[in-house]
Amino acid sequence: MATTAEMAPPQIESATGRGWSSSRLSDGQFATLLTVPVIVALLAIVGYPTAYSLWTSLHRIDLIFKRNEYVGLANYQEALTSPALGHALVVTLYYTALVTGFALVIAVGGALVLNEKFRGRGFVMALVILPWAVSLYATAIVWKYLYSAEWGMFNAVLQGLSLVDRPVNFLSESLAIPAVAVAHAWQIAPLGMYFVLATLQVIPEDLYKAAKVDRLGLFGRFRHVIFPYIKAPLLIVMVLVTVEAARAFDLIFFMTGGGPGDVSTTLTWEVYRVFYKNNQYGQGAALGWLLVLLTTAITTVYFLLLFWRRRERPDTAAAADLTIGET
Amino acid sequence: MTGRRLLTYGFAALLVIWTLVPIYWLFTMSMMFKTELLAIPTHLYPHEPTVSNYTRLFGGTAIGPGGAELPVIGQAPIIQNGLRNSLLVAVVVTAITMLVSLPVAYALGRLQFRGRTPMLFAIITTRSYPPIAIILPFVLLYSQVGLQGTVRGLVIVYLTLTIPMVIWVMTSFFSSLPRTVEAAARVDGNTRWQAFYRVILPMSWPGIAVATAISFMVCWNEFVFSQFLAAGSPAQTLPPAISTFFFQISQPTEMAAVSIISIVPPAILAYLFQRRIRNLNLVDPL
Repeated sequence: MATTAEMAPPQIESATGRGWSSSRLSDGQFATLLTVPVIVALLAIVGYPTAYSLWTSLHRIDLIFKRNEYVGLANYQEALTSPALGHALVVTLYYTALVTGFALVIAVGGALVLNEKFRGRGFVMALVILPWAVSLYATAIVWKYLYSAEWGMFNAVLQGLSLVDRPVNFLSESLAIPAVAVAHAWQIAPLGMYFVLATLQVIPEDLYKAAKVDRLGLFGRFRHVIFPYIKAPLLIVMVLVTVEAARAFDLIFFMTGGGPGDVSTTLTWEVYRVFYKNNQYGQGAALGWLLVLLTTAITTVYFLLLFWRRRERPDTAAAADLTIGET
Repeated sequence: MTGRRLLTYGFAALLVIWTLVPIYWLFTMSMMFKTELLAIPTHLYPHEPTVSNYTRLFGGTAIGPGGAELPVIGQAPIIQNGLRNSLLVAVVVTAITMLVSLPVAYALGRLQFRGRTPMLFAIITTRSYPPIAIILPFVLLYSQVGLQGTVRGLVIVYLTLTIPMVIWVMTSFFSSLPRTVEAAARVDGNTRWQAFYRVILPMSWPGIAVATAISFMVCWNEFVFSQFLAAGSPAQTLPPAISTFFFQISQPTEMAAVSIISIVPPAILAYLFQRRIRNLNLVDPL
């Protein structure tokens, strides 16, 4: 049956034909038709829990006695004034800064290498995306095993080379956050690398020649030729990585459990702790909202950056954006 | 010139090592007996390689290094069940996601209309919220309506992750197609709708393939929702199963084998689509 339907000559509806036709619609109407059902469905799925979460954050919930008491903004006040929140914010900032720093170095370094011509370049280019495919929880497990004091690879190598006498405890109080941040950067950097690489590839060859004429060294070339081009994309990658770092949960869950002590208790972990360990639902919801506020704020910056870039440099942005037609 | 070439190869080697070392170590561990893993000094490669950590996950037994028989891994059924659920959820969610997202992405990528910018903003915002921040209402709601611990429940919540992601990626793709395509199709007598599915869609298979792969990977790799909405239930996917395995009776060599298995499907997808992922801009679709 299906085949006959396919083989039938296509019915060509003219714009003035009878009955309903999508061609009669304006761009705006057609767009509304396409988008609104999905957006409404999405909002319906997310909407109720979100509203519920807002409601929860304004109440003191007692699941055992089924008593819910309206407390206004008390949960927010409590959350905002608790020392735990201040600590979690500091940890989150520290962690986010480290992940972003590491990831940018890896992304730019990797992109600069991949922009050179060398044998096996195609292979390396395909290989570097691998960490991005690894889930965050698997990343956490892998790195926990690399860091292990009893049988971890890093300690095996360090001790084999006699660089340390006894195994380093990578997840100790002082090293836990940097150690987790390195793992996160490993996982997240490849996307940034590809993005920066796409930008590097649109830098006109002439600029490199001019740099040669001016006898610029490696650093000078980076400073004066490459950097002006990758400045905007770098900023975008930076903001994107910042959001990802701020919402990191899997890595903390598997690698440190917020510890040792509360050393790696990020905002996400604090929400989890208040919700699930202390069962303070109202305060947990309030904290959750603060967290959403934070990520939304960073995302807004990201979004504005994309728009600003579009306006500032339409030429390079467009060229770096999409070259899929060439493949 | 040769100096620079040497430098290039040096850094390229470094990049490869950096990328592969963690995966190499996981794989090495998965090929060891647990006694070898505890050897001092630590072995950097398996001296007595074994696939027993894999076979014992799928109902086999093995002979250990001392000649003793190693039984089937106790958690094997849970891991297998997790694998099945992960596959089921990822496939169903991806299918629904593609059907639902393509028209939206088409509108956002190719039509000018009021509300386009706010809509893009809404999509990027839903993409960036931390699941842990809104998990509690989902848990409470799901236990009220009977979706807690069901595959259906997971499918619904995963759609909120994949749909914005795919819309974002495909918006980027659609807007990269030549501007004149629809106009030409319309002149040939096609309606808007026909222009979309007769002309634009066939041009878009490369983008659709990548978006499908990404959607699959997002579901396959998702941990938080499955942990809190399905852990311990028959519907739990692989990540919470792994989490149980990891925190309860963790035998690192066996754990490593499970982790390798969890990495393989997304790694294959990423490798297959790496060229397209590189060209399709996942960071900035505007």
